[in-house]
Amino acid sequence: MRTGGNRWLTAFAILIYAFLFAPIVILIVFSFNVSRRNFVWLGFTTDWYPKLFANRDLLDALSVTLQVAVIAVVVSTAIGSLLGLALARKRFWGQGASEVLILLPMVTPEIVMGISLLIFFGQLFGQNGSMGQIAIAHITFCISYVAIVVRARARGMDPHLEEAARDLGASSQGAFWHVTLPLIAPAVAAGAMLVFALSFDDLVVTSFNAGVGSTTLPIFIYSSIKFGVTPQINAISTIIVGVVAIALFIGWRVGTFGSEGRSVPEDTMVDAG
Amino acid sequence: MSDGLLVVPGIGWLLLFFFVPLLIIFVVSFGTKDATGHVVLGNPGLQNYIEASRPEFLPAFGNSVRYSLLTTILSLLIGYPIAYWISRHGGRHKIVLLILVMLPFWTSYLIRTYAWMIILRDNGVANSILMSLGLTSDPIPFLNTDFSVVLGMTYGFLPFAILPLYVSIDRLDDNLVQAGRDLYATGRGAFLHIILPLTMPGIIAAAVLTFIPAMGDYVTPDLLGGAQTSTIAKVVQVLFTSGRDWPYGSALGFLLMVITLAGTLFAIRSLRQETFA
Amino acid sequence: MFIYNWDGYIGETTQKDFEKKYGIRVKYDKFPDASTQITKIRSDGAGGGYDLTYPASTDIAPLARDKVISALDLSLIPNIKNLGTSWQDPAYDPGNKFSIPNYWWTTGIAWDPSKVKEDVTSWAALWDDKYKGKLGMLSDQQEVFAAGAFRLNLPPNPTTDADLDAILALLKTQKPLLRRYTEDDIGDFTSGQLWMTQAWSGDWVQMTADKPNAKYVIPSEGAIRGSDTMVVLSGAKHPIAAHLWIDFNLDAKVSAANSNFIGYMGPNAAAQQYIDPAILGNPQLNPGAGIYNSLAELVTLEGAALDALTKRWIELTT
Repeated sequence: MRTGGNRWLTAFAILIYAFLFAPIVILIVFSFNVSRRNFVWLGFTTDWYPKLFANRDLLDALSVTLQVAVIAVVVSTAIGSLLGLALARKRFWGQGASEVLILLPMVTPEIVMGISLLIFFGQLFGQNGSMGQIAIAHITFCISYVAIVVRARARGMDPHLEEAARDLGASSQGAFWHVTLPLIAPAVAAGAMLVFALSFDDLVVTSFNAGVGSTTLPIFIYSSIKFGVTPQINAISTIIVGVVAIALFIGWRVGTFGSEGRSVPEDTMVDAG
Repeated sequence: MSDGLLVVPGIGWLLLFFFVPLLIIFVVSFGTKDATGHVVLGNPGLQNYIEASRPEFLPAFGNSVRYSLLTTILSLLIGYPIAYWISRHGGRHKIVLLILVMLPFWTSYLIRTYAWMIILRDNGVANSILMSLGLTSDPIPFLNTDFSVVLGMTYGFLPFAILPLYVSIDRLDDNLVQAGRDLYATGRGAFLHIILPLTMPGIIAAAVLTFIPAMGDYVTPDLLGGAQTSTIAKVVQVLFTSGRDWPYGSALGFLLMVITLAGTLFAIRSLRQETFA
Repeated sequence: MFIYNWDGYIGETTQKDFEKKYGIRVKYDKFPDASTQITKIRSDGAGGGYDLTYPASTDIAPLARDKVISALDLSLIPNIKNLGTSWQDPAYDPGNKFSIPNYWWTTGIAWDPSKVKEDVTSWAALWDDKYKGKLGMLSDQQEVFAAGAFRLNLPPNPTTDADLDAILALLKTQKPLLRRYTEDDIGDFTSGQLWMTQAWSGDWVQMTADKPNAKYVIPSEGAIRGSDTMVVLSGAKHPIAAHLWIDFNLDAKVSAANSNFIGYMGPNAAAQQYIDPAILGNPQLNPGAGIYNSLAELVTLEGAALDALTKRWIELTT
């Protein structure tokens, strides 16, 4: 590749990373704002950090949000990956309908989905909202995202590879675990990262499925709009970013993520559909 | 492993927890509400759908489509190069770089949006910089406009585009790319005729994952928008909340869904056809 | 005990003081707007799992009718004697059977005198095209239509199509001048996005924390006054604790602390001596009985009346 093109591309990439992180920088800076309402910068203080640890309601909300996110990610990634894989392969009965069905949750306005689940759980099961209900709701809208990402990746995969593995003596299970799974692994991981963000941030569907004591962080924050979102929220977000960044850094240094270059030259066949 | 079985948990879950509740709402959309606000199903009819198809809603629909299309196009235009860069030039650090892309989105969406408000408002960071550089004497009203809405939406949906694009681009075999460059004299030719078509599934996935949720997003235009940026998603929300009209809101919601779905399927079909043209 | 309320609606130490005094743990969940609150407490017809909430006074009648709230046991609320006489038997809830008044407020105009050079006294100020792009109205359909009604000298709770359409026409002339129909009047004003906006009186007090020179006025054509209440929900699992909370908040000092923190006046006569004189002495925040009684209240809309308004609101805002 021409080195000129390289440089432009890299410059562009750096610009985009700056774009992605600009609000994060602001977020971190404003976690030190003296003003309780955090609309305008009034001065520097680190008081919000200790205060945040004394804020029971905020910490509870964070805890609920994380628990739901973990459950949602694990279940929806598993189910969604299988779904995506199936949709990428040979035709089966109901495939067309399934393809449309997975698009439906995404097309549904959140408020419609939220209310539908409210009625479903409320009238049919007499539920008043709970963490479990939120988790189910999240899994429901997350599955599609994972399925679509995995399908896009699996689409180009040579379907004969798994067959070949089986011919060579692997069991059906083994072929799946040792051939198919590693090939779609990046898509599965990407899907997982995506739905974690989705679940962590979800507001509308969650607010219809939350109950007493199962307030999530987005609901907590959104309810604070009227009087200004306290810098404690910024502080918590800063801590989250910090923790993940540190974990990332450690992982990078330790080389866990290091040894890339593609291990299997799998794409010897040109994708024709 | 039979493909049919793979599908069962996913479709089963969706049928139970998505389709059934949706069906309930679908039924509700044909009902009416009584004087006290409770849903009445005794007189089912199409009145809500007829009401929802009034031309007064066209501006809002227009806004929704406009914002979503712009957001999708921008996300693809920005996302593709970055996904390409990470995949082709990331080397050993590919995964780290990818996670770095996601990192901002593991903070709270609302705080990020507020941060944009702090940057874009009249006395905000952007204007402060522009004015101190002497580029303008009055603050430029970035916030509460179409611009701030599209910016906010693009920002919010960027990772939804980057991840599927990356997954697809990363799949490309180096040899193919080389071969392409040998076949076509220019890098541009290689890109247009080899790389682009091969990564089309990723592009389609990215477009779908961006356009569809963008059509339903009412929070971003609400927070970053102004009096003139109303979307149809917001109208649905108003009907359900201050209007307390679940049947009507459901009908409008379904109309929105049908339009979004139709548009998306149409776009997917045409994109797929183009790949083999 | 589970309370469902707005954010920042009670004094800074109120919850802790209550917990210390009675040894009852309070879980305080918040909602961002009244619609969410009503949807939630009506979701199972009995309060959605909460014990106590703060609905607007105009919601009491429908909630009581639909049995979402239960009658109060006034013997558990001895501090009720602290209420001003005019609050002890309000029109919306005779005898305080279901509710205890919490705050009252007015809806007027807040403005920044450093940007808006004239003195603001009328709703017409929000139609002044000199400030195009810097004006705001609340995103509450009833409040916005009431403001329009005042300008046209029509009833603030319009019901006839003719009235509604006239107001809609007037509001449409305002829309191009507005920056937004804001849900966050405090934030937009304080951050300088809005120089003049329709606002609630208590919000103005919050604005002055970050913008001390901000002014507030009850426009001459008329304004809305509102109040909200504390109620016990019919499905409450801890009704006694809920009553204790109400009684606690009626204590003179606690009530004053609440008012001082949020800037809204309370109905508590005994508390007046502890309220911040800046709030007490401000005629815009604490208008005399004469002005107060001349102000109008919003009516809870249902059925066809609500539909008529919502339809026009959507037409206005899209």
